Amino acid sequence: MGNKMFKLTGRPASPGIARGEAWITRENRIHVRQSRVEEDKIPQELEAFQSARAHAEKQLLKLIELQSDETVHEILEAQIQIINDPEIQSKIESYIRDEQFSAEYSIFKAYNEYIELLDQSGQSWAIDRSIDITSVRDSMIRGISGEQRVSRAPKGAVIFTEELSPADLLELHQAGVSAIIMQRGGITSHAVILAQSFGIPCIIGVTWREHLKESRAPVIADADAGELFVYPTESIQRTFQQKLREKELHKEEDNRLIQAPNKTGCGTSFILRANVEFLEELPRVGQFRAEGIGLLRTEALFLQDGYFDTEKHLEFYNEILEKTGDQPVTIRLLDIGGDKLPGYDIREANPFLGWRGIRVLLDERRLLEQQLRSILRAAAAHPGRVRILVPMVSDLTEFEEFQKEYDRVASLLEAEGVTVDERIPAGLMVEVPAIALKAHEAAQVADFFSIGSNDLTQYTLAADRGNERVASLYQTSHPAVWRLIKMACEAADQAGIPIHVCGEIAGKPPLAAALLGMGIRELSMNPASIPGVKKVLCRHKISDFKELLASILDSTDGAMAEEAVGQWFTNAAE
Amino acid sequence: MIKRKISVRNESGLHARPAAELVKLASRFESDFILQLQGYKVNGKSILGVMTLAAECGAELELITEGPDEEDAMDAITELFDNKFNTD
Repeated sequence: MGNKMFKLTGRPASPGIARGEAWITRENRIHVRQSRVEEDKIPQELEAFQSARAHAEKQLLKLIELQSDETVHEILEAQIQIINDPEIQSKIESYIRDEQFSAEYSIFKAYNEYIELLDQSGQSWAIDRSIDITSVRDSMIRGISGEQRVSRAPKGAVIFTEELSPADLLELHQAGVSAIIMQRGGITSHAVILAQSFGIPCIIGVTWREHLKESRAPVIADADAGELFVYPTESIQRTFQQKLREKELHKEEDNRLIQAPNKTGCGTSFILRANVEFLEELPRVGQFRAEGIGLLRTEALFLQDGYFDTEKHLEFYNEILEKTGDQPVTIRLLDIGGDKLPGYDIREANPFLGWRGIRVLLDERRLLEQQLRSILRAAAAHPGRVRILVPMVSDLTEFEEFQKEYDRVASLLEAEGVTVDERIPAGLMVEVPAIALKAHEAAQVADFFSIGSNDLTQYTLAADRGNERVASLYQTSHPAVWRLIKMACEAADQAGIPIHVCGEIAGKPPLAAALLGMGIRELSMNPASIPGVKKVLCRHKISDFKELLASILDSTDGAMAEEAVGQWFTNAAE
Repeated sequence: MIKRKISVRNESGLHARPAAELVKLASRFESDFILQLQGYKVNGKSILGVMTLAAECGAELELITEGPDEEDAMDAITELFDNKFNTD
């Protein structure tokens, strides 16, 4: 005791209130000492630089593929520009060639010249950019030295740091820290975006280094307000206990809701499942009581390795199945663009209209066979629970080709002594308008439909939401898109096959309501969206949802539909 | 070689996204592209160069293109400036 309380302020970056003991990370900025190499080592150093450059670029490309948020894309693309900057490349090469500096030191020195210039300007935008450049610099240097950073943080700690890389943040999340305080860090930095998605309270721009000298000091961090109290007085502690209690009450209300059965106000049952990509997300699936997984993305694992590791995928699918009780798990086949395949250097003028999804898999049969092997073996160990989803089908012969390949792999496995689950449903992802328009025929070949609303919207309205000039044309409640969904729905109904939605619209409460109005009873979304969706669905009746749906379908255009949806939601919340 | 004077008219100046847009566009042309601000010259195909130029809204720049497609490059770049980098 005897330590006087002090208050620090910063910018709220990820909401929440936390208390814990301070834990200060090691100084994380890399420092490379000046070192020179022998003349005959110059080619080696040049090569080391080029491979570090390629490695850093590849890592960012992978991150881009894993992220759907267009702001994140923009940031990552700017980082790639920083890596491939022609001026810095020739500067680094000249340091190696003319000064005989080591590759590590040359990278360090060249980037620092720009970092210093930006830091000196004192402008906040410049400091954010200098953080980006530092992280590029460090990832290139680590690519050469192979060194890793962050040491183990204790569970429940409030982390005090200068700034964090995405990998550091992932590690802190796994350690179970309660809040993160950064001296630097922009609202657009990767670490902040990840903290938000993991629900870790985070405050940035806090000048703590001069004030906080030791770890283990008690801290209360209020990331809703951007304030933190070190050595809090008793009255501050009481205030926050009260705040935490209130938050807890809201949580209890959410909890009660989560425990309640999935039934609308008029007693109609519905199913809410989770979209999942990483094992780390599974606790949240349980927390929000998702009924299994409606969309398991399999791209991350493949892109991490750069090739298909059958055993690793099998292990991943098994672990997912083991941790989701007796609920179904829908595995989507690899949905990647051809440019992400190792050994291909493909530049397409229109990648979204190009070689991707099932188109790639049918041309690269070995890849399809490998994935089917992993899926079928996982399904054999968990009979009756696996479903397969085929992405980017635009022509029904593609789906039929897939089925032939499926049968072939199944009989191969049986010959090898694997008991193949008799009937694994194979679903067709409805994301190309042509499929919705010919939904009756599609419903004859597919075991179920799953609406991929993101791509369906972009293809129907011919608008890429990542392109700022046309992003406003990408309207999720546009009546044209909803007519296509309706066609798919009616065809599924007539053919007697199930229909689900796994796109973003399923996670938006009013649109989820409209989907129920259409007769769809199974939605899959990010686990965190479940409470919000469930609240609206439980409190209203199917007849309300039908009214909402009619107002979307009858709208003249997207803007009108959007307004109708907004209006409905405002009334619904009252 | 073509020279043209232009002023930065978008609110956020020539950093972050506008800088990235400018570099992306300039890199499509074969011609060299130089940006000059108060005697300070940078390679317009270098994101780091453009960032460190730190041109704010209202800054008067001189654009220089030189090469086989210098006219097309200059026109495209000028258009990007005139459209305020499609931001505001």
